[in-house]
Amino acid sequence: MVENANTPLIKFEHVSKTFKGTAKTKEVHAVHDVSISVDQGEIFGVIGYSGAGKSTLIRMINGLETPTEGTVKVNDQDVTQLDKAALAQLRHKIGMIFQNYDLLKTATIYQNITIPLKLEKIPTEEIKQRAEKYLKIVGLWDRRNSYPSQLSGGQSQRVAVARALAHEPQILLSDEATSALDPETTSSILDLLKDINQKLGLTIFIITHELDVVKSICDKVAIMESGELVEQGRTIDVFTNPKQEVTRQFLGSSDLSGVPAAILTETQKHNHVLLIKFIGNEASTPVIAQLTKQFHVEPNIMAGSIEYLKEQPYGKLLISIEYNDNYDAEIQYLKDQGVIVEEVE
Amino acid sequence: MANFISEWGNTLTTGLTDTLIMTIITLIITIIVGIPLGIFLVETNVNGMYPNASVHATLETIVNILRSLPFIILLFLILPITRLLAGTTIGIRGVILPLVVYCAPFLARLIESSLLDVDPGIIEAYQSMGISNYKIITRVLLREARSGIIRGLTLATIGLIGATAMAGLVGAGGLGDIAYQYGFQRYQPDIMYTSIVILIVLVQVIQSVGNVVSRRLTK
Repeated sequence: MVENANTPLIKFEHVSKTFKGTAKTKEVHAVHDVSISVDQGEIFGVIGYSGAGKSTLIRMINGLETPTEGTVKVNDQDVTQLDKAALAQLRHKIGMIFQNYDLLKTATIYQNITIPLKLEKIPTEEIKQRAEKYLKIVGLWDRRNSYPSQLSGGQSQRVAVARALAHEPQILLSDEATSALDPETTSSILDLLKDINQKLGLTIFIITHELDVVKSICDKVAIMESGELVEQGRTIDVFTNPKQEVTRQFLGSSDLSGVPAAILTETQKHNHVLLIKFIGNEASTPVIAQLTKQFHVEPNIMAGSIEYLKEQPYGKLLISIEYNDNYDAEIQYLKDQGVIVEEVE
Repeated sequence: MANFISEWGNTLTTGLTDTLIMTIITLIITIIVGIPLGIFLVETNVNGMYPNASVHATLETIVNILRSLPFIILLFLILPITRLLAGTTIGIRGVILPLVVYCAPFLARLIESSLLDVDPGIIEAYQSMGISNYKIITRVLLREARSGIIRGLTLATIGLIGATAMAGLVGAGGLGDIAYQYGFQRYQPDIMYTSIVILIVLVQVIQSVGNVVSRRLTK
């Protein structure tokens, strides 16, 4: 497949969706003026509380929902303008996985992969090869004759992933795919998705309410609240430097790493309390050490953590520095070293 | 015992055969009418694939009206239509239409409820794969609902056997008729009990087969 590197694979342009009210229900603005572009090979996550409009948003990509305003383009094709046949064709190229796996209970794992392919009239030989290939990729070839009721949640989701992959799609949509799973299973499914993204070059669009999903696999993230996108960008940027209050709230006020307010107030009587954020391990300790050398101050570490955003370490340090005359110069020095510094009020 | 068999054997065999013929023919037509009707009830509803309020309301009304009529009333009520369609209102031929009209709405309701038991997520998943609604209904929905459908069919068949007992009123015969004619009107309890036992066995067999098949298909 030849892709124009400049054209985004999925593009929302000022998309809104309003569900008309009836006599009994109010009109609902599920999605309001959303613009997103997702490039080929990216893992893009939309995070928000339930009811934020994420489900409606993801369903517009494959035409399960249609926008009331704006356009949704996949591969430069306007999804809403496609006729039935073209839409079916597009959907074959977009796999989707769901929170409840949605496998046929009456069919074996193997049949769950082959039935949709048969309904698409793919040649039998081809179906056999694909079923084997993708069940092996998700590690469930041995269980091919089992029924979904005999599988765990994680295994069921793997089957759903294999079913989606068996259509050899260009895009994989994940609708809260890990929300019903325990943390361990979640991370194994996320590893699988990351693997697929890297090995098969699949573009993945994820909606979730779980921060960990975004942290561990998304290249880019958009935060959605009440139908609107509040902020979007590279995951690492949004996490390290959230622009909006809502984003901060969503990411958790974990910035202070659980330091009790009383201690903070007490410390602030004689000290500046600084929150230092840095990307990558190496920056942190030397910076603090250098600060001591240069300005003869003795920073005290109150709290700190290092998290990994898609394998990229991202650290936070809460330090206190006794009131001194060089404060402004010290701050400037830290900033010059490429870390993000904020004074905690 | 030998006497009883030689005296009543033929009557009972004919009765059983008549009951079975009526049941089987009616059942086949009922399936042909009732399953699509059940599908229409589900798919024209608000959450169906082809929501259509007026079609749905019409179907609902028809089904509800037919479901509220006792078979014995229905049998006489539609006599003119039966004559028109079947050419006669007596015998097995004359009773098939009323039996179908009685049974199909019942089966449709049972099909409807078994289809509604299928997780809507599965349908959405197949829609997301670009599979046509027609294929989803015939190959996915009916498949997933199959054990419920078998249970519904079992129930409808047993209800149907009950209704055939009244077919005797228009001379269609059957076991129910024998129990009524000989047992009740001429007061011959042995023949009445025998026909009843055969009916009980018949119902038991159908229910057991239905249960086994339904369980096999569940997975």
